[in-house]
Amino acid sequence: MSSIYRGRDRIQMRIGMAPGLLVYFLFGIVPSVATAVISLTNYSGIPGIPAQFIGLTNYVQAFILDSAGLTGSIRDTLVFAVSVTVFQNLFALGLAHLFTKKYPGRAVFRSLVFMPASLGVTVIGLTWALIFNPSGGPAANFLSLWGGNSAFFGSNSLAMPLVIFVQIWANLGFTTIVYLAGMNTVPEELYEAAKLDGANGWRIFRNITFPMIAPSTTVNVLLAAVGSLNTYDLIYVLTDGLYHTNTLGMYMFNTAFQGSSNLGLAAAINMVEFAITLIVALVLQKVLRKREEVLG
Amino acid sequence: MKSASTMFLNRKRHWVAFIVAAVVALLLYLGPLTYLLSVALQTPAQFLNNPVSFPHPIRLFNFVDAWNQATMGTYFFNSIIYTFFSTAISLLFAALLAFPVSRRYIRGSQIIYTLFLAGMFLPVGLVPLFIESRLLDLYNNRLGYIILHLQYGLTFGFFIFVGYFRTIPVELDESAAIDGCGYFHYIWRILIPLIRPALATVGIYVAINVWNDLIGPVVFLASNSLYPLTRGLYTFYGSNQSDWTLLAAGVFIVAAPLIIAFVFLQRYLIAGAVAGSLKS
Repeated sequence: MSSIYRGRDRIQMRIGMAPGLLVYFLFGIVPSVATAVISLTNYSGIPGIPAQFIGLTNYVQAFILDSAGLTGSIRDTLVFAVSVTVFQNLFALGLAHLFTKKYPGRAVFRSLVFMPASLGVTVIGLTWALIFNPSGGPAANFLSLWGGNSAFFGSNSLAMPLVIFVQIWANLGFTTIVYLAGMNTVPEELYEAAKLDGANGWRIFRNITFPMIAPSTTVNVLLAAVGSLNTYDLIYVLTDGLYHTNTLGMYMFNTAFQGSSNLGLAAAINMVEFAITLIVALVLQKVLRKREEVLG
Repeated sequence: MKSASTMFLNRKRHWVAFIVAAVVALLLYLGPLTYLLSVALQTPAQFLNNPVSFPHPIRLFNFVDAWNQATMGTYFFNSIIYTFFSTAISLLFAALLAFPVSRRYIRGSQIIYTLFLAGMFLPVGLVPLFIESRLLDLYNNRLGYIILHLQYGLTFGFFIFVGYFRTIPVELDESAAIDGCGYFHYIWRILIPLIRPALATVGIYVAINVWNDLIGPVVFLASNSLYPLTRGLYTFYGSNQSDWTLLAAGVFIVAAPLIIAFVFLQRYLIAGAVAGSLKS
């Protein structure tokens, strides 16, 4: 490839590219690959104690010796990811559909639902912790009206549904906006033709809108699935992985950075998380793209 | 022929759906923040008696108290430094890398692009990053924290800019070069201003992400004086778990600038969300 830039300009071009490439190599490629390597060592992260190669010991530890921990964590991850992916997309579809209609104040409502995108997990987590404060928050008051009480985020049965709820609450706006962008590209003539044929709202949605926005569905389902399979920052604030909310990310994080500081085992857990994410992403991608082709 | 009454029914049903959605949205999305503010204005005594009530008397001192006790000033300063520098530097690096790749001015452009694409499917290696931060002396210092946060803006910026540079005609490069405009001068004075819309979208999206990062400061920082707002607030929560009026004031102090930023910048966030989703 010839270039208009020669001599000093060409040197400047290369110098300009260097820092970006270096950053990507050091903090993008190396950590991704190194996870696999570290998972084969007993690295503790404590300065002065060298890492030793210990083969598959960490995997034996994760899969066999502590199989209850890992299977529990995989179950939590799947419950969390499936619920979030399904409900977030269902709610977002409904909302986006409503937002295509010209109701008064719809821009305000759209903004309101999208607002958590800027708040971050700390504010979101602590705000909901306040709402679900077991000793006299609005949720506790509401429950006590019916004579009930709960520890909410400290409850084995309710913690997971609530964490799922907050995750959907936080990301619903994003998913809605992607659907809305898709719906706005559907040609108006299609709707007019369908109305002339006497199709009603639900049939129009099912037979025109939903098939036409297949690319948005692909993106939203993939992003929600991959995102929720790897979520732990919000869970870290809400429950710290206790009460059956110990997703693989949370399990990895706590193994690495809280208490034991077993970085090798954490890396092995991270590899399991990565393998599951990869399989789910590949299968979903294949299914959803096929669906796009059939519909397109 | 559809009868008029069915159409009317349809319209009526839409209105019902809209009103239900509106009420739920208000309750779920405005409710929590309103309640947060309400608790932040209550006295501890009122909160103990009846936390779900209008603050009476209104106690503004919670904010002063939270600000001072949590050393929010330091955290704000840190958040601003981290966010500004890691966003600005990563976008500059991204533009300097994206331009030759987008134009294929350099051998291996396709390889670089493929590598970046492949990176989106690789796991985020938090454990190796932590080890690297120790080895490269990036652990627990401001410069290191900024460097460790360049990666996100670099990748996101790279993809958006590669696409954006393609919309700028090659003839512009050529005529600038003929006029004797040096490479860096051309990038800084001509190209960067041209991609300003993309810079704003990516920049705001990246900045919000860096600002709100909680895992980063938990893993890469150990000194309280280096914490950004997220970790500072979380630590404050850990040490005042039962003092909700104080805590709510602290959360509100952190949330308020984000809400204000959202009101002004949401169109960029929406553009970033849509652009980001289309890239993946």
